[in-house]
Amino acid sequence: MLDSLCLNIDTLLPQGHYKLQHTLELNKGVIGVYGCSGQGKTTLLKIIAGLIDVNPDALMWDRHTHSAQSPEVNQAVYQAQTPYLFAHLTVTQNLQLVLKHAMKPTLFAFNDVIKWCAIEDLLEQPVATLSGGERQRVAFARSLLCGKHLILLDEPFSAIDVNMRQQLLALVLHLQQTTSVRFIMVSHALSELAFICYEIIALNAGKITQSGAPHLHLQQDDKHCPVSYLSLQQPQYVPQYNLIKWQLSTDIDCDINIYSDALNHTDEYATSYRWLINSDVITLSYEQQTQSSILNQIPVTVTHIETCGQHVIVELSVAEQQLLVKISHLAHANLSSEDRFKPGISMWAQLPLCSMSSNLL
Amino acid sequence: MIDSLFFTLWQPLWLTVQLATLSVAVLLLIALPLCYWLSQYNGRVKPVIEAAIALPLVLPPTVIGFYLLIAFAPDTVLGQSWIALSGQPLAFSFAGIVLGSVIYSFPFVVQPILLSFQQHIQPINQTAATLGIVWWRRIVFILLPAIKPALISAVTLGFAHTLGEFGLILMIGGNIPGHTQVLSIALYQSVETMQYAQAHWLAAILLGFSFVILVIMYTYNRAFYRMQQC
Repeated sequence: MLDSLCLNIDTLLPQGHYKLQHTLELNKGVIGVYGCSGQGKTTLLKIIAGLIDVNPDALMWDRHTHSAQSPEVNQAVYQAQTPYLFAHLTVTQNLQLVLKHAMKPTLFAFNDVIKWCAIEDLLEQPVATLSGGERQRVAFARSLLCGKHLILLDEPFSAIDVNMRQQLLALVLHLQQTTSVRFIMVSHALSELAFICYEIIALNAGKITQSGAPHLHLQQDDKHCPVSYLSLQQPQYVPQYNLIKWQLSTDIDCDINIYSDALNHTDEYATSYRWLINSDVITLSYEQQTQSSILNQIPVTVTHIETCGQHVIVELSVAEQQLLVKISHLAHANLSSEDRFKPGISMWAQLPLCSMSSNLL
Repeated sequence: MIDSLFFTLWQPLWLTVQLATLSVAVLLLIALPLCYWLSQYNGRVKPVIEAAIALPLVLPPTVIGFYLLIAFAPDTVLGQSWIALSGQPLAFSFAGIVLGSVIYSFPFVVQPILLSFQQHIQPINQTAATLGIVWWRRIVFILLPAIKPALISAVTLGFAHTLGEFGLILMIGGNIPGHTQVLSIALYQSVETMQYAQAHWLAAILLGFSFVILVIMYTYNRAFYRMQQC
């Protein structure tokens, strides 16, 4: 079981000086690596995978000093954005090759993996006939089957359509939470990382510019329409309406529900879900709206009000989570008419139906 | 009459097949490790090595033959060790024309393999290594199957090219029936001695044999690339 990976990279690469010190808490959740192209995201993954030679004390696994290990025997498998599949073989042969010849025994059953990655129909095809998205799914299945405990994903689902990408991200999150496999994922799409990551590190020119929980990055990413998220737990399928009812908190006393649409595939394994919400789709009111079509209405406390150019950003807290709402100056004036609109006041926030596939659009 | 014609055809044909098979086998043994190394080597002398490999393409075979005879003359160190190894001098021996063929057909075997290695080795090594597959399994179970069309090209081209060898064999091996008289030499001799019936047979065998080999190679490669490209 991998717990942590301590990075102490200090090396001169053809692209420039690469210096990076950070401890990745692998057991706490998926680690995201974020940054524009050419800032060293792929290089970082390749260094961790042992595919680029660096200073010998660059990687320390689980707080033990380890001598540099060759890529065959270390714990990490690197999956490239345009993965190289063995072109002379079919999909099944590609996967079987890893089962047969990899040094470590596989951690998952073959049939489970092909079902998770939805590649049952591709098995007999030569890999040359696959589309980019299909190649990425096959490569992900291959990484899962190779028996290593740390999977390094380099833009792994970039060529896959939104629904399937959502399912695969949910799968990554699920595997991280319920098995001994750990993930580090590179992406230039912050929303994708914010959806599943425990920590995101932002890279610029081979250095970490920011690291921390996803919402810190999200707020910095877009000042005009900040994004926040709610963590949802314990899904319950409501068959008569084809909806899923989520809990906002694991705390039993706090019984706040959020409804989402039901995706046929995802609900099988997603035990928790991170719902990214644009701040301009939330509305606020003093009274609970009854006799309306709104399904998602939650009690919130205003914690901060800040004027930000053309609009006002209101910070809310609900069940120890933070939510951001963007309102116009007129709406702000209407709410302030009775002089009640101050930090500390309890209000109701109306949210749209949570759509499982809308996050990544 | 028919019997003696059969014998005069069969003996050089069988010798030619032996020579080509043995040469190709030796060539593969040398070319595979050499290409594996060369495709990953990027040092300064790489162009020199590549030029040396390509030399037999442009040199008259007689030049190669001349230098081989000089280098392996019985009074030289090389010649002495050759005699110690094979029991006879290089000149006029079957082993001598095998050595000549190996050098003469070297680029035809090396170049398809080298090209294919350069294309496949780096991605295969990197991908398979990170998946936890050790080097010798990568070579045996991934790399060699992946370059199968190049191997087939190399074998057929090397084989066919050895069939067509003339000048070098004449220079090193001379014209000894059963030892060094391959098809092309036998044909030359038949024409020289005005045995045209025999010459027709020998020429037709060489032509047909070479053509069939090339057809087999192109058929196989087409099927393979169609499977890969669809």
